[in-house]
Amino acid sequence: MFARILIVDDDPSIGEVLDMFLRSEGYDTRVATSGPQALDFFTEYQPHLVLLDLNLPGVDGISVCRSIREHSGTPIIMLTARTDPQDIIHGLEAGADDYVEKPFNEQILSARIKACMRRPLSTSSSVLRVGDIVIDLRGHVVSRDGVPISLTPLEFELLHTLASRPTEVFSREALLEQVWGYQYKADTRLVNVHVQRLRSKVERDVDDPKIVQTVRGVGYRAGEINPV
Amino acid sequence: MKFFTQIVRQTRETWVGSLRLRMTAVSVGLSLVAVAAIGGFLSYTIERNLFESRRNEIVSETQSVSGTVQSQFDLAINSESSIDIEEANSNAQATIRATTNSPGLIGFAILRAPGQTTDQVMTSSSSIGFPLQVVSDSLREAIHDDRTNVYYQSVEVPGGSPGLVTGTNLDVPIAGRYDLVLVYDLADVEANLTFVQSALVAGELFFVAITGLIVWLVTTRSIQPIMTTAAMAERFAAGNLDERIDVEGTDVSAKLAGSFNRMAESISGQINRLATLSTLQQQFVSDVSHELRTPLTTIKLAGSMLFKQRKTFDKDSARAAELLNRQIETFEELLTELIELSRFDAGAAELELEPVSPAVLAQSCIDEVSPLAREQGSIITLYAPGGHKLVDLDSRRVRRILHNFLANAVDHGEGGPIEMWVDSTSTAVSFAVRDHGVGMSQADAARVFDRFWRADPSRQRQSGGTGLGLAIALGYAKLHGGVIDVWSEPGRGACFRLTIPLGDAVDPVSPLGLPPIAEDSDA
Repeated sequence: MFARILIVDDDPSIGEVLDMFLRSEGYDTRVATSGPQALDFFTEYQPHLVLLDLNLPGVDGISVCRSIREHSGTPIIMLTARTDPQDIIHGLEAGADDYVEKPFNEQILSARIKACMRRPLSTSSSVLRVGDIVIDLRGHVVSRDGVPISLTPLEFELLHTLASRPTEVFSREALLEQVWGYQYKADTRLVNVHVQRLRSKVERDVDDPKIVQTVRGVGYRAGEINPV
Repeated sequence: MKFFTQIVRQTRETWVGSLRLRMTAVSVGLSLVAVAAIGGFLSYTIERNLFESRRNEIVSETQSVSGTVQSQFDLAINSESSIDIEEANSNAQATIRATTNSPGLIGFAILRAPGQTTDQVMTSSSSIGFPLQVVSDSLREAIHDDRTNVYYQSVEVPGGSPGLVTGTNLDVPIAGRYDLVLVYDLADVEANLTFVQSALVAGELFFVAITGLIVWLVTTRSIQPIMTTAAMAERFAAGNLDERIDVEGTDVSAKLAGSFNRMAESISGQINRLATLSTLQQQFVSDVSHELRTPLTTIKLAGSMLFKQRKTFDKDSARAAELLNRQIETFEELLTELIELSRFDAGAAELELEPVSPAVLAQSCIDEVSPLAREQGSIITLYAPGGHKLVDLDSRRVRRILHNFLANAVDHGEGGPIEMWVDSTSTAVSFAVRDHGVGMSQADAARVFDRFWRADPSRQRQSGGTGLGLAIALGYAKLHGGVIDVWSEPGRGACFRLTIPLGDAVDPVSPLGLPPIAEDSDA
């Protein structure tokens, strides 16, 4: 079985060359050239990963990203030609797991795809606790007071990484390496934005985080296990 | 003491700071001096007049009383040329009581002048409660010296109020000379005077207060346009370019407002034009960026696919694929840096600060470059006497600057050792990278930040490089308010030092020398 990748780009030559490249890498692919088409294909094709160009005619990439996130945690890698930092942040806030800037190196793209695909496979047979949150690693379920909280695989992995060593402070770089599979790449915005997204789902009060705590200037760590 | 100095300082600040306060204080002060002078003069004149008229009244009463009493004594001599002295005395007293009607008479006395021997002696007498202590010797001497006129003296009567003593001579037949002394209480005069003076003082104070108020109001009114203009200029300076003053009337303040508005109009027009230009350029850069990157993405992917399959091509095609692949990379780097530079030129670059440890940042940059350095035979050593505390930096950009320093050191270091320093003070954090390679002349060192300038075009570059790296690094440094200093000598290598001010420090002294000397090195 080949992993399925949905390529969304309005430029047909990029779509074509990406299609060629990813097939040569052993993936099954499909190319969408517009936002609505991307959403149709997503439902119909059930991809394992989406490569999403942010700059689409009609429905833009950010909206597509948001629509997918509404009902799915499928990894999304943004393709962005803009170098405006705000665009990247908007994309990450809309739910993209990662991004690559055009023109990208095919090895980098390949590495990013592999890192994203690897994520849901991490399993273990125990239960972790952070604050009043319970992480069931086998069932891949996070819950509070028995009520499940819906996390994307990336968010799950982020929480899992922090919770796996509760006393340790993880630097943003360490998280980039362990959660995103980066080496030497130090775009800490990825971490910041996703920590915010994760907090908005798991914290009772986002302004006073108890689950994912910031250690100023160092990074993040899991909150203490609730004694109650 | 400290509290006192603070009050003095605050008062001075308020004084210097408020034109209105100064104007009012000066006018109040001057009018106080003026009314004090006028009031003093008026008060003096009124006092003198009041007392003088009363004194004249009293003196003339004494005169007439003494005349009456004297003639009574003269008539008291009977046909035998003798006198019933005590009867005459009591008659005289009755007459005095009957003829004095001036208010304030406390009492009178008929006192025998001392130092005379006569056939008969009339007993000195006085009215009940006569304050004998107010009759001074000097008064009595004066009476004796001048026998005809009434003599008077100001005294203080019992009870503390001012009084007047009058005295005149009486010649009692057979019994000799006596002094007729009358004592008047002038409390009523003083009461009148006090009343007049209080009215005067109250009037003066009221006048001063009114003057102060008027000056305050007038000043307020006249500096109002200045205040309005100043406040508007502040808001304008703060970036509120639509601020204008309402112009009313045609006076000088309206003129000020009008001129100011015209100036503001002209400035905001210019600024808007420039802002539009900047926005246009930014938009253009953004568009170019997007438009170039899209095809480049395809070219790059396609190129690298060809490159991977080059072994199946014939020799020339394989070489073409190699060239294509390498030049695409150079092209991409150039594009990225050009876009970054034009973002600076458009003023669109903004800092993204986060707390980072400079030493950790430096180490991480070294880790990135180390593999390439080792290929050239260079070992990079980090000296971090300081820079371990967290400071707010745009870590991506600082990393980029340091990466550029290190890449240059590797390129030009001739495989020699490379040192990197980090140090910080309370005002600055500084990074320096030193190589021991070919170095540059002074003239070359001065040009390293020029765009597309290369120290030695014939040299092969190991880490690529577009000729824009240092220009961008300088842009990043300036964005931080920092500077990059260069040291180089031919044959001795080069040193690049980045100094970034911390907090509000301006032009801080770098904590590192140029080039820095390592404690354990003999360089």
